[in-house]
Amino acid sequence: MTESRARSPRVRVIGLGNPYRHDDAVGLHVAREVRRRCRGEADVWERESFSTSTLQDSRPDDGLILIDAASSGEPPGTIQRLDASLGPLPEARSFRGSTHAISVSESIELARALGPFPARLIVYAIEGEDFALGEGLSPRVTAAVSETVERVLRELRSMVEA
Amino acid sequence: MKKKTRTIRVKALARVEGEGALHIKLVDDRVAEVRLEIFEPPRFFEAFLRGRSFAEAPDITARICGICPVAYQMSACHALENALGVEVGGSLRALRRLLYCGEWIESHMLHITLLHAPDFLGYEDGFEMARDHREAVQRGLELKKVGNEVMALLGGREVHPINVRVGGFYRAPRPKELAPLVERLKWARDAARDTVLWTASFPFPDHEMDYEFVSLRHPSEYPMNEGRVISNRGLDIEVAEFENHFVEEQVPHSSALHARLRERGEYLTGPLARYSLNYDRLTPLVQETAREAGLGPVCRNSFQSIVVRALEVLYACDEAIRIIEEYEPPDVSGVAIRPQAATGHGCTEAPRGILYHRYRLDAEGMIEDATIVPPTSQNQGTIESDLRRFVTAHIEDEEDVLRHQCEQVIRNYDPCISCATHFLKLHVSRE
Repeated sequence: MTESRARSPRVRVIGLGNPYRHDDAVGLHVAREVRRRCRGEADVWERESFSTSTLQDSRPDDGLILIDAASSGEPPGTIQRLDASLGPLPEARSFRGSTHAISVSESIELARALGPFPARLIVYAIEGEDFALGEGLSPRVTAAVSETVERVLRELRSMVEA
Repeated sequence: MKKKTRTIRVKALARVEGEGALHIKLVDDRVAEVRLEIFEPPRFFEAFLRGRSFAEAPDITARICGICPVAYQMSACHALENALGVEVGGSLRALRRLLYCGEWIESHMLHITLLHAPDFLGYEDGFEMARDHREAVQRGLELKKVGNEVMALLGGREVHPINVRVGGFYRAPRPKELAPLVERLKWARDAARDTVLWTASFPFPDHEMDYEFVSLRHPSEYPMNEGRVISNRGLDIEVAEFENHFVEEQVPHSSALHARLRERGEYLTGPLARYSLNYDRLTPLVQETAREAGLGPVCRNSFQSIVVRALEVLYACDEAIRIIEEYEPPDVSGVAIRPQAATGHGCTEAPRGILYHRYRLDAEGMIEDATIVPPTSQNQGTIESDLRRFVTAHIEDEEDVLRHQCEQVIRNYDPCISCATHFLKLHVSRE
């Protein structure tokens, strides 16, 4: 059996969120704008959840950027960059409190334990204010979108060039 | 003499689907009170089905659960077909069974791998367990994925399938579309056998309950979509008689209705009941594997439910392969339906047990009234009794240990709390 055709390292950007829970959708908004601006340098996806199968065909030299809303007590609109490459995300930051779905940090840890796992996994967390039912981002979260887009574009370009 | 009161409390149950808590009160080292508190908000499905078309019921009720949507779709379809005088047989019937096999595989494997196995191996959660038991967790998640693939192919989507309708499907697959699943299911069958033997090696406490088991019973099949409702204590009724024998009632500490048999009280539905009442309907491979796993034809130990779930996954893989290999495309993807004023009943075996639906329709086929009785709400009384018995037997144990074991007893039943909280009577008084 011949080896699968070699491919160059891939950078992926995944925006996570629920489009019907106001600020929970911020990851989706950022991803949409990144896709529009990124000139095909990376695969950009929008997803409602992140599971181990998302990483199924990862290789050790791949890069992954996740963007999601956070509910961690910071002022709304705060942008945090978390490096999950080296270790687990801090417990205190809950990306989606739910007893019906596995959280982002749990999915990352499961993928880390089971492999494959990308060499670089960066999470951009934007503090949300309003997670009630409904569409549309609150003003302070809306204001954080363009800065997050710029930071993600810089991050993905540095991953591509590395 | 002053009474000594101890309370065992778990404020939020871990590794169960949905939100619930546990409250046990001991007075003078006797169990005085056991409450499985379900505070998941009620969801009012039975109420908002009123005024909807019968055709919408499978899609609406599927939203009750993300892990067992097919069960709701099947019970809804069977109940409505019963009302409208329609029979779905042949290849369409086989396809429904195949879809259900997919759901049993993914639901059971999720529970076994991430929610239940950690209890037996001493881990806080499946993610911690994955580090030390990588192969078993990978195998479990891959097996779950095969179940999801069956649902996605046949149902059009893994969560809340879109291809199911009253009368059959919107589109029936061609044999060559199903064929690639066979290789995956053959791998899954071997992996399921390994999972049975893995779970059989876990340490199980000596803990049996004298259950009244309730399940469907079919003349030739291990039950999924059809059969009479039976028990090991003489119940043997048509599905249409369900509400003559089973009663739902509200208790103060749960937003999910409790259920009991009018004549005898609480009962158990789910894998242990199905297995113990239908062992003779399992394939030789499954029966042989059960023997290898140290199980006889009846199992009364709720801790060993993890082995029984794995045996049902093995059965589902075996059955799915048989269905695909024998599949001939039907003439139509769905039987023609004519609305009429009628009442219909359906009961199918969700992964967690019997799921009963009843609908009353008007002449245009609009739903006037709906009743949905999910398995987890039916099992609440039995779970509380199991806890009472377990705590009584382990009353000398250190409190932290006992609390953890009580949570495990609840997890033995694989409760789906979202499903259980489908209805709540609401009284609003304004002053």
